[in-house]
Amino acid sequence: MSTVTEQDLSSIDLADPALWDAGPPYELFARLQREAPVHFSRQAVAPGEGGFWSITRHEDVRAVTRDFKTFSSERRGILNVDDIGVPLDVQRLQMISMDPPRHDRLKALVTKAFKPDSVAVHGEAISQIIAGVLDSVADRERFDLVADVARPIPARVIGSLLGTPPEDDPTLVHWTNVFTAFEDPKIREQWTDTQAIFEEIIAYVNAQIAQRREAPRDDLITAMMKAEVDGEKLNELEIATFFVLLMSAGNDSTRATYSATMLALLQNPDQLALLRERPELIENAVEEGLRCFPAFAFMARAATSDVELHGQTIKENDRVLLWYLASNRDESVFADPHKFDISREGLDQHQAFGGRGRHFCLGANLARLELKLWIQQTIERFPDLALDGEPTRVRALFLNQYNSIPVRRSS
Amino acid sequence: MTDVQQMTRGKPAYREVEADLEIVRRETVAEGVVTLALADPGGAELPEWTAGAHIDLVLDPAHPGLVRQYSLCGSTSNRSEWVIGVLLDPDSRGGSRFVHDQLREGSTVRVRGPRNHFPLVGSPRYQFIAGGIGITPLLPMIEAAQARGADWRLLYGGRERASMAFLDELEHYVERVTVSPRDERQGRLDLHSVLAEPHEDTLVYCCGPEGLLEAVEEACQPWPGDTLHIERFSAKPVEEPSPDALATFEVECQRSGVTLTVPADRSIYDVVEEAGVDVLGSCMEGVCGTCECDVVEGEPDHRDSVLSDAERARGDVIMVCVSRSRSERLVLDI
Repeated sequence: MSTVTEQDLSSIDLADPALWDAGPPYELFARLQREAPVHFSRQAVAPGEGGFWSITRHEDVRAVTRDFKTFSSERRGILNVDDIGVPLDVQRLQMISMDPPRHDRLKALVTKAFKPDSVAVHGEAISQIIAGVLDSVADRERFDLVADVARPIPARVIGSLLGTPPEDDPTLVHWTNVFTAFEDPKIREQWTDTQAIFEEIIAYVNAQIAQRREAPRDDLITAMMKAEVDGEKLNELEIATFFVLLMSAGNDSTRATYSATMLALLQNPDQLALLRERPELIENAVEEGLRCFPAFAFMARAATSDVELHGQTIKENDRVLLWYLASNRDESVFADPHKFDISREGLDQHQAFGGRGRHFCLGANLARLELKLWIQQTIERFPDLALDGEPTRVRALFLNQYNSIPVRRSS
Repeated sequence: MTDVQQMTRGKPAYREVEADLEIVRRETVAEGVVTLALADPGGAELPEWTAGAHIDLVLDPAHPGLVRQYSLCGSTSNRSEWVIGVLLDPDSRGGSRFVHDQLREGSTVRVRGPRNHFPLVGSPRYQFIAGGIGITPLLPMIEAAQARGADWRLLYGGRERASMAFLDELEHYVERVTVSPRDERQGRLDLHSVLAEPHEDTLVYCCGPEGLLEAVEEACQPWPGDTLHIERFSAKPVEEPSPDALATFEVECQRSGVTLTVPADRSIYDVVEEAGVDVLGSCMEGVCGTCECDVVEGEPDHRDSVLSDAERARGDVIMVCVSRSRSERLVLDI
């Protein structure tokens, strides 16, 4: 990567798709960490949006995350652009794009369902969902780890928590793509009007609400209907946006880390052999997968006042990207950071679920359980899995995700 | 359902359990050293663990903060018992003294774990170095190294042979083990003999008293950066209960206008959440930072791994899932 080391950092635009042709620019991130820990990108691909500051060091990601008064999730949302086809005002109805205290009150409504002891109850059901999907590809010599295995599983897990029927899973997966992979040209081809899709979702959620008015159920949609914030019930639009958040977070994240971790195991046969030899390393392997392959490349914040950091002045309303892709490979925290090492120590420092604090991932405990069972069952079921062609990545700055990982059974 | 199964269900499924285990065997294995074998009273299998793992013993249910860590020193393949080795420390503030005096065969003890902060990383060669009771985590490592066909050596120092545990077990490996009691040598443990020359393909694992660890850290300076793996005896400072921590205290939730009593066996999080106060939480083990609350008044007893020393000293925030109080009243902005 000599081109990167020679290039003037101030001219680098991290939003330039060419930088991502060969996957995430890890070398560049390492150089930013050393030389320009607060770096500005013009974001030329999104005219009118303005650029963004990049925070790449582990300790800075943590510090900015904790200081939610100076670095707001609400002002400009958590993506790299304001305009995702859904107005900022509507994005702000989701707690991920809210600041305390409203964020906290909304999150408290559902936090109980995602505590370690609450998700543990679903272990058996999740195992059955995984077994069913693995069954569906078991007699095929070739299949796609993303399309055939990675998409259906988290869709059904989050669907069963939300209370939506299995036949709707593909629709929910499609909607998720609209809201998180909106930049990818291939995915973008599949729809033209985000607003229309959002209206479709509102109608869908309203129908679900109507069913539960007659017969309440033990699911998250019912919980959202019953919930009150400051003595007021959530309105239909608020429930619909909450639904979009849980649907997309549940779908996108786990499948991204599962696919990438499985790919890393296939590409590092020594690590796969080690995991087979020492199955008790599974939890550590999951954490290493989360560290190396966080599902979301970053979350954004916007400054609520002018603030100075490492000699740079971030102006009020400037967008700041917290790059987990970089901070999880900060060599001051993780030795030999680009090595995929399932027996690595100190993995509780990774920031795949955010930089700790108020916005720490609601679904972390569920994701960990899902990933553990899923990777375990995959390698048990398919001991002879091998890569069968070139994997392709989703082309969206926000998503650290594969589109396709072709595999074959060798025996 | 047995105790262990019940506890497993109520805890992070991917991590550890909290259960009351029975002491099924207690043996004196060297001067001042006993081993305790712990098993589920209902006979259930215990969770899997790996070499280097430790468990917490909650020594007094009335003081959930009085916790001590002990390395598991039995075989990882034995799923029916966990074995720990305990040295009676004459300066004990209650931990090992309690184990020696109170934990008899047939009694039960609350156990949390297993957890591994000292895992054995794959390598063709290992140099193990133990000082005294620091031998305990290294025993399962030796078993694992042997099983993997790795080339390993152990240098084992102690006061005198009679005080050094597990010498019998180690006799199988006479050509790999150097036993070096202080009363049979001159000067300090001869680290030079094993660490003088750095080897690319060798990992060094050391457990023992602080003086030994420092000497080994120094001797390993010329070695590759990730060679040395050490485990300190002392419990992590965050889990060491402060002498000022109160078992029971009051929490006033200022914004919600309620005052609640937190008993010894429950967390602040559980008590306020049950009372309908809006509070966030996720990991429930003090690592994720979600449950941070502002402290208006009172002195927190920090038990989390999120806050820095400076943040602790300021005392204006608290992680309510694990931290407690040093003052009888804690006023929180919730």
